[in-house]
Amino acid sequence: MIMMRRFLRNKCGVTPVLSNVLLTVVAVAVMSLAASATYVITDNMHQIMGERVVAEDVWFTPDGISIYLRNIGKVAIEVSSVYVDFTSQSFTPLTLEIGDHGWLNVTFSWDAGTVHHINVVTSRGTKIVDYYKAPS
Amino acid sequence: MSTIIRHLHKFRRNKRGISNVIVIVLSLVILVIVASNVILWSYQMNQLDWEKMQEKLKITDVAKINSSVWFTTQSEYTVSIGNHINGTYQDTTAVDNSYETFQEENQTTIHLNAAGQYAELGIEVPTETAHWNCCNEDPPDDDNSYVQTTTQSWRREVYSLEDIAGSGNINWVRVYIRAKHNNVLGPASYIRTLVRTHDTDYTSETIALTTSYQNLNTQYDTNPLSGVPWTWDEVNSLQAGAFARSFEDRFIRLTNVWIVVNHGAIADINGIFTMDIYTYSLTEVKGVEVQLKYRASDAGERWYLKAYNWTSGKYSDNGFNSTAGHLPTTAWDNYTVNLTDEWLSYVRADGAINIRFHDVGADINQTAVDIDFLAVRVLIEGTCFSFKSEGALTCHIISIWIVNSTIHTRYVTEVYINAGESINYIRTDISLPDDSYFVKVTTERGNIAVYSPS
Repeated sequence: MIMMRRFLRNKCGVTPVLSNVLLTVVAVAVMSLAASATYVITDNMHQIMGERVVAEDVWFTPDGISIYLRNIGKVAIEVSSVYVDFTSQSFTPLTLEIGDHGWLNVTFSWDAGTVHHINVVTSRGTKIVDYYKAPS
Repeated sequence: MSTIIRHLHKFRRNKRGISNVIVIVLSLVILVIVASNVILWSYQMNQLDWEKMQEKLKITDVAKINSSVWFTTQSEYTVSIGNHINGTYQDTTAVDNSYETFQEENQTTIHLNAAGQYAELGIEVPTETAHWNCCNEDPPDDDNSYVQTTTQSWRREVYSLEDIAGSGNINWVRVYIRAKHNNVLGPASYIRTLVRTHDTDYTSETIALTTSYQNLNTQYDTNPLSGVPWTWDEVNSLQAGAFARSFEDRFIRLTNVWIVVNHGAIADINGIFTMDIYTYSLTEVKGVEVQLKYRASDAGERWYLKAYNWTSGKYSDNGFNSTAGHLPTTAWDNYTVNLTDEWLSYVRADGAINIRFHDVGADINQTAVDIDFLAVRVLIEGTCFSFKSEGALTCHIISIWIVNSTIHTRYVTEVYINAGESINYIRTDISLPDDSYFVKVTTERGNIAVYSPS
């Protein structure tokens, strides 16, 4: 009863409450935004960190170079570009789900007996790079 | 204590206290989530990479194969005609100094195996048992199972007999019945032996029964219909039984029926051999080979290998590369037959093949035959890969690549090799190229092992 009377006599009682509530709302909103941004950033990091691809075979065919890729990572991959001897080449689109495998056909006129630098890049930036010697 | 209370009062007086706490706590939560998320994921991927590094697979050999291992029998041979002298089927599974011995027999007992044309004796014991099943025990079980007639008129019972894959001349066929009547008082009841050949019944003279079971027989030197010596087909289609008539309350009990065939001394054995169709898929099999190493004490009789034709239901050597049999030398002899293109008729879907070994040209000598080795194998065109896991982890091979100048072929594989183990892996669907090639295998973790024949 005494507390109630003290509260009713306090002329500046509403303003501190409002300011505290507003500050709390603003703090929660800002932190929610920060949490969402963190989730997006870490999810992207997950996917980049989880990519693993191996080239099981490289076959120099009359039509170009066929690379047999297998996804051994934790996320699906999509080949975004292929460089042969540091030059971008056209290729048949290839997306591999987790554990999936298949041929990546690259259009390239290779030279017999020549060593070629082949760089396969995924959409998240993972690279499968090696030197391969074309048959004589 | 006073310092803490003073700080609490100060904090209570601070108007921005609640928002500060919320901001600090949420910041901490976010930091913890981010850190733990990144660390855990990084740990998982590091684990993956670490396992990949620990895996060490080696291809130690790759070789063409054109036949499987030898498949030996896993159960004792069935002796249709002849006697088992000593040894076991296990002595026939390897070429060594241990062998199993059989001896020719000139007399074969054949028991009932099915109902025949007549089952007219009205009572069977045990009740509701097939009549032939009351009369096929070996040795006879007398009053434990029998058929009985209480009728004062002639009644017939004949039963089918087991098929025997015999060969050679038959000297005589003797039909046996074992019967009695059940009452000591009054005159005897009567019975006759009964055989049915070529759908014609033949009975013996009437025989008076006593109250004790007795074996009664009738001998037929020739087939009663044709008057010429019996053939094995006639013996196999023969039905045997009795023709009985009770007198007043002296009921006749028939407890056993069998026949004995006298022939030149022969031996006839067979055994089941089961091939591993999971390793050697029947769709990839090119043929089947049977090999025998044996020694016969008599060089005068020709020995044959045959197989059971699952389609026709008979033993045959039709389609074999050799159907002339083998004449022994009395020393150890090897005899091999190839089932050529007809092999599929002789192999059951589960890989079982039933091989029969018998002689023809029966004589009075009871030849002993020692079998050191009898086995079958499949002929294939395949490849045997030898793998060794040298790492600390189990390897899971998921693909095999055969690569040469013109082909790069990937074969899907499901092979697990424990740490430190070596295995031979046979593929009947993989043929190695004739020109230079190399082999790659890839594991589930992404490691690749390469083998290049030197």
